Amino acid sequence: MLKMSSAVRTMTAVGAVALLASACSSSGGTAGTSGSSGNSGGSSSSGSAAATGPSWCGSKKISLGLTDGFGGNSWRLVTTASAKAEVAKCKSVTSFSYADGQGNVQKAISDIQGMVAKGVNALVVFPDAGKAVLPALRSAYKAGVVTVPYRVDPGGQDGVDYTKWIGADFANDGKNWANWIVKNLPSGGNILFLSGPAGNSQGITEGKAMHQVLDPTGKYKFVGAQPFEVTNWDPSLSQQVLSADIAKYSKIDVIVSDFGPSLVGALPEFEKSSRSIPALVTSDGNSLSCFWEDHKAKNPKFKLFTVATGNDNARLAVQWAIAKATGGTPPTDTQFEAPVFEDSVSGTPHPVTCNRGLSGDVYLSAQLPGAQQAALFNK
Amino acid sequence: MNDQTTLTAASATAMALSGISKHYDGVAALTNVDLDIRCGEVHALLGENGAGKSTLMAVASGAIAPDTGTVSIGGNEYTRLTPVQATQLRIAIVHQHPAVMPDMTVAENIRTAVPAAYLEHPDGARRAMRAMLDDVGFLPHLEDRVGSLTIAQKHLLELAKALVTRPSLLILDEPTAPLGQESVDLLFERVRSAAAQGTAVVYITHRLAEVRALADRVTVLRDGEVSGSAAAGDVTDDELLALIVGRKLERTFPPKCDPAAATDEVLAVQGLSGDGFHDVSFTARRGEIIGIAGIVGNGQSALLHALAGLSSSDGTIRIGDRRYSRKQLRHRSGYLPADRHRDGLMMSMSVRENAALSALGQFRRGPLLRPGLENRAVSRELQSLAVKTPSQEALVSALSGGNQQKVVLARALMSKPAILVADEPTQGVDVGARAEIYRILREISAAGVPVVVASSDAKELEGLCDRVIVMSRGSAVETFEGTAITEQALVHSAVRATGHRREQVRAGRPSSSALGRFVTGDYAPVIILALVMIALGAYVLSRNDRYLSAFNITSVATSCAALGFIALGQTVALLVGGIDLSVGPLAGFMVVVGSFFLGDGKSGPTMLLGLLLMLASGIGTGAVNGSLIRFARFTPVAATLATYIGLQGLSFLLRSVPGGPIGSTVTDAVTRRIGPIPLSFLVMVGLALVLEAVLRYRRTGLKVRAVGSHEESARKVGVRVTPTVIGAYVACSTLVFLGAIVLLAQLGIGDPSQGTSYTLTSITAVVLGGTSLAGGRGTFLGTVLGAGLIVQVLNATVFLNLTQTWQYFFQGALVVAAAVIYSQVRRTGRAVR
Repeated sequence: MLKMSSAVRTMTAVGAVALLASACSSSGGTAGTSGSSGNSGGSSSSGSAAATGPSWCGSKKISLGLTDGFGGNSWRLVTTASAKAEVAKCKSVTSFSYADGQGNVQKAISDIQGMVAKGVNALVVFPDAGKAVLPALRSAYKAGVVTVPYRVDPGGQDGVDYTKWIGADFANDGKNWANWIVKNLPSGGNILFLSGPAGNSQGITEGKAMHQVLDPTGKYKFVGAQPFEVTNWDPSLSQQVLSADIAKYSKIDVIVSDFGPSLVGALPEFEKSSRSIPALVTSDGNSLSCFWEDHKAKNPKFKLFTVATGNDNARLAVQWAIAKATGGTPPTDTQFEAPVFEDSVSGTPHPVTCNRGLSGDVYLSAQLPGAQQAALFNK
Repeated sequence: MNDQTTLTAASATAMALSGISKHYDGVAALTNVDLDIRCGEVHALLGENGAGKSTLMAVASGAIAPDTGTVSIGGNEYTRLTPVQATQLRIAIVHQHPAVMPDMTVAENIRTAVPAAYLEHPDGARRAMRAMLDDVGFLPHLEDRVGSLTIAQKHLLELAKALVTRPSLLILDEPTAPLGQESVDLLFERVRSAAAQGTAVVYITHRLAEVRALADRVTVLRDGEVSGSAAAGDVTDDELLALIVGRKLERTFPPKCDPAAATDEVLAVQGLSGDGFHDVSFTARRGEIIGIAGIVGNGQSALLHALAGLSSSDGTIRIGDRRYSRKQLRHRSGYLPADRHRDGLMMSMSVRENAALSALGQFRRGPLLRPGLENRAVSRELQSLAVKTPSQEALVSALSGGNQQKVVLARALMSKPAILVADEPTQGVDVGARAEIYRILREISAAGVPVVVASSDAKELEGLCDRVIVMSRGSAVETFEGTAITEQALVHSAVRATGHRREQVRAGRPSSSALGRFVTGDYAPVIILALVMIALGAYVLSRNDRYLSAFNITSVATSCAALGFIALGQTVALLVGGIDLSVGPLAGFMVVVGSFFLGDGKSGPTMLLGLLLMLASGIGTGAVNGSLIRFARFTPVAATLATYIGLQGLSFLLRSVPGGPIGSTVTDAVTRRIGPIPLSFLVMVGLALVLEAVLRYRRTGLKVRAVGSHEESARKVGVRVTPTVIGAYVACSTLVFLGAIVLLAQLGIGDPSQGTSYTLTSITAVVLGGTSLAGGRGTFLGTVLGAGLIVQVLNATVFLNLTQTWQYFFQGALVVAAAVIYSQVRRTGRAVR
């Protein structure tokens, strides 16, 4: 009996460990958007002079911290590496440290506070949890640290809760997409729009911008759930949603998505039902570009237009943080505008660019060279 | 002899049971039983296994409600007693299986079971406890963990707890079974002196020698009825035996083997000793069935386990001309366990799967099974055993008891065993199937496979066996052969045995060392954790002297406060033997609720209302969790998982997107500091100290741990289990409320997706703190340190610039190390005898 009960205890303990271990590794949570479109613009303001350093790099020596709410996918790896590369351009930054919130808001908060306690002078934060990390950002700012949250809106105000929020101009993306649609499908048609989690501000902003351009023409109709089909930016959910819509709507003339590579799995459904893949207006990704090359011959209506996915948003945030902390000149941009990247019709600024030597997870629109991105995934 | 001698007409009746009947599933356990117990007498209650003695005493002590009949005490009549009433009426029972909580110390067990009034002593309660234990010859230290005591020591503890209340009625259920001679003498002396002081004593026993030594009167039960009652001096042993035996059972047995034909020896057991039996020797010839008789719990099952190779033993076992090791026996024996539901069958699997399990090796082709071969073999076996089943694929749980037993038998036979060992093979089997099982056992034996059968039914052994060994207290006391095997002789031998357990002669032991008690105690993890935290802190400080900056202390202590409160709540749930998965979503839900009331510009009453609603949602959640577990019989995991999901849904229902900023008046109040240390952290630590004191020194705390340690024992000693469990979950949720207030200030907004991570983090903190996931033992202080360590580690990963991989490894390694170390330490504690 005694043996029994101690055995049971051991079993229980082992079970607990397994439970906890799985908890540690699954880190999920709703935080952590995977990839999403945005702007790069890094090329426009990355500075120039190599000897003296870019203009945003002042003379004061600083240490800089970067914290992520969730750092566990390829888009994030590229983004973090981009930020690091940008930091390396400024010799005034004497130390750089990075922490991954692992999808756990408590850890994200602890990371921000830990960075402050450790004595960083500038802190760049990807605030995945949004407003829930605002108090932590505020405490960092109040402690005298140059605090620059980027991309996700944490609420609050510049100069009160943090130094400067470097968002992305999602309305610009919507406008670029809509303009391309007007130009290339002048006779109008049905539009299917997919974005991330229900009610996410990025999707809503993009949708509004598109409507502003398209509605006055009276020739375009949005089909599917409004304001957008919910995909959580999750490739498997995207595939389910898109497959269902392909079956439901016999006429889809253009698909708009703010995470292009996630659609690759479902697009062949068109071919299976003997329909051409329609025009696709989205953000870039190597896998998507290669998919277009493979399928363009069989699908006469398959035109592709992409804006840069926003890895380089991090570069602008880093520039701002360093400029503010070192006494450099901040960039003029306060928001990232994603440049147009590929256009299969006009070939400008780039034709569709597929590099088969690199992983499908590579984003060729990012400043970070493709080969360096691929090396990140092989670590 | 049936006429009751009015020996002491003058002495008052302590308890009168009249017309007591009790049925279980239509089977009568007691039928119209009358029993008078008088003050100052020792009344022996005799009868075979299953005669109804323990059931009758369970009625007398309030553990069981009778179907009909009344209990009269001191002029009051009760149709049923509750355990609480029984305690108030000073009815004390010493259970056959001691009602003790293994995770608690000797002193805590006493304080839980014995009202404080009985522990008054000029030099304090501890002195009173020591005195009552010395009185029964119990030697271990008051701070020894009861789980580490021997069975005999637990019995003495149980006896001491009963005697100290100076009971008006003392019931002893086979008290001498595990005791050595020395302790038995002491026990008799105590029983006599209690009776001399006017206590009525009911003494349940199987042993006539004890009746002679102690009893004034004796009542015999047979098949749930009183078969006789008399003054002990007026009946002879033979008359008592006649009353005990003679159960009315109709059945047919196959003819026994011809002793002249049986010549070659197929089984020889020599000097076999093991845990629970010692020095047993016997032989069997071809065609003979060996019976093992004796009162239940005298080493029969342990002997069978050894014969089947299921437990280790010394001595030799030869089958045919070959000696078998334990491992060989395990592979080559067919074993029919007594509890076939628990040990013998996979109830949710088919008849075929159950039958073929131990013979699968024969149906193999490479790594795969050949279903055809398996089906044919199973079908052949089922046919030869005449198993009545709709098909091979029917679930075994759908069969009758007899057919289930035959499936177990089929499995044993399909593995072509060298020896067949059957423990109570016909228990719960109908008459028809019994006869067939007897026939099958005979056939197996005739084929040259030795068959050993243990049974508590002497009549069965008489009919079935060619040789019977009677066991008493682990020894073979007598062997019967051929026509000498009669029910009368077997029962006689068993009840007359006077031997006492050998290996437990020493009921006491020298007190354990103080160091040993500390290492196996609850506070060892606290010290270990504190050392780890100091070491980690010193290392980080050596790398970065800003580690102890005011900002870092504030932020770490704030995080620790939020997690600490929630983990304290989780500790309560784990102590009571449950778990609360809903703490994380509950904290998040409370923040969402609060976000509607605690914004800037809200009035004082509105804010107060918000706080009350948060608290109410906590109390409600705790009540729902506790009720689902106690009344709807959910497991704690299922119940709290249901509320986990429900609360998350509610959060999203109230706020689909984050909103409702928390006002600065609230956040300022919550984040107020004394120096660098947040007030919330100080409150959390203070509360942990208070809870710790309650857990150790107040009955409330003892009750929580008693229920978590051993629910059945806790109920027997008078703890009201259901209110305790529900109260524990409510306490858990209330502590989560305090954590939610800190979280509220930390997040600053009502975000429906927040909080869930606290479920696992809080469990991690509690496990690190050394609280047992199985319930019953742990400390709040350990939990606070566990929470502190988790927060410290998160903080340290930033200071040390650890890579992501190492951040995961670091946390995981800590938890694994804690779980392994603590379980090892406790196992050592249990092994030390």
